[in-house]
Amino acid sequence: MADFSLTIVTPEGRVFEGEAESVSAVGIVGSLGVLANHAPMICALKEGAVTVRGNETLHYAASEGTLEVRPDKTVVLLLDYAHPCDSAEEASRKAQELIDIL
Amino acid sequence: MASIKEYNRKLASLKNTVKITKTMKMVSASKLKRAQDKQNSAKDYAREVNNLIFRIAGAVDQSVHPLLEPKPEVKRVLLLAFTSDKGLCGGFNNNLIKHLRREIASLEAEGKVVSLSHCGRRGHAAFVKTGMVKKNYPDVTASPLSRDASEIAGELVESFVGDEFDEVHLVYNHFQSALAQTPSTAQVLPLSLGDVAQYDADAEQASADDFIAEPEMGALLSTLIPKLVVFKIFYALLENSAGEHGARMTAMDAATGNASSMIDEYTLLRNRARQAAITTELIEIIAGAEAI
Repeated sequence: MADFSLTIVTPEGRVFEGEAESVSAVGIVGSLGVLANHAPMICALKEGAVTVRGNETLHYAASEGTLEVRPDKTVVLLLDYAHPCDSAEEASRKAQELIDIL
Repeated sequence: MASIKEYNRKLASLKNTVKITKTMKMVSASKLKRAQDKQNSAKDYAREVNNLIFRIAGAVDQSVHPLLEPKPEVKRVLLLAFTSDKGLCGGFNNNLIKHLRREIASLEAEGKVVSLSHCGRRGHAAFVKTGMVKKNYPDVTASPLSRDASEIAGELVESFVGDEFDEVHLVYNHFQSALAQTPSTAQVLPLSLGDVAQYDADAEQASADDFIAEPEMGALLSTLIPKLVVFKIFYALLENSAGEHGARMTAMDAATGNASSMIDEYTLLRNRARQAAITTELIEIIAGAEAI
C-alpha cells in the first residue's frame, strides 16, 4: 500500500513524524480513516483513539483537534493532547477518561 | 575571638550549604533546558494552528466569534497570575507580585473591579487574604501540561462568555534569558487575532472549494479559536516554568559564590586562631623552661 507523510503535533511536541499507510481518528461527525492520496480535507476531531498504521501500528489517546489533508497530500493532525497507548481498547478508554477529567 | 572548634563547625556547615546550592543550580540548569525545549515545541504547534486558521479564515467571511468580540463596557477584569510553587528562586515571585499589585492599583484607579486567579502557590499565598481571589489552580506550574492549560482555558472562556468578566489578562514573568525575567501583562480575552496570527509567508489562503470541510468552515473556525486561548495559557505556563528555573539557577549560583567567599574568610580566621594558639603554647613552654 502507498505511504503518505504524517505529522501529529501537540503543544508538548511532535508525537509522530514519518510515513504511514493509514490513520484513523474520531471525527465530529463520526469515525474516519485516511489513506494515501486523499482529497484535501480539514476535519475537526473529538476525543478518542487515534490509530496510525504503517511499519508498526501505533495507538494514541487523543483529545480534541483537527485533521488536515494538505493539497500536497501530507496529513497533519493538530491535537491538544496525545498519549501513546499499547492497544486500541486502552486508547479509547484513556480518551474517555480524558473527557471525564475535563 | 571564636575557638578553632567553632570555626571548624561553621566551615563544615558552609561546605554543606555549597553542596546543596551547587546541586540545585545544576538541577535547575537541566530543568531550564527541558523547559526551553518545550517552549520550542509549543511554538511549533502554535505556528501550525495559526497557519490552519489563516487558511480557513480566507474561505469564510469572518463572522464575529464570541471570544473575539470586545465587551461594550469594561467593568470587571480577571487577572490570571503565574508564579512558582517553590521558593529559593531569587526575586522571581516577589517581582511578579509587586507588578501584580501595581496592575491592580492602576485598574482600580480606572474604576474597574479586579478579580484574581492563580497558577502557583506563591502568588496565591500572597493574595489569599485580600478576598479578591476567585480561584487557585494548584500543582500546574511545576511541569506544565497542555491538559491543565485546556482545563484553565475552558473555565476562563466560560466565565467570559457567561458575562462574569469583561476582560481576562495574564500576568506572568516573560522569559528573556536565564538571567532576566520581566513581569508582564497580556490580554487573553477578548482575543485579538492580530497578535496571534503570525503565519508562514508561504501559507496560502484556501477557498472553500479546495477542501472537504467537516463540519463546514465557519464552524471549524470557531472550534479552532478557543485553541488559541489554550495555547496562550500553556505558553504562559511554560514561560513561567522556564523563568522559575532560570531564576533559581541564577540565585543558586550567587548563593554558591557567597558561601564560597565565606568559606575563604572563615578558613583564614581559623588559621589565624590556630596560629595564635600555637604561639601561646610555645610562649608557655619557653617561659616554663626558663623558670627551671
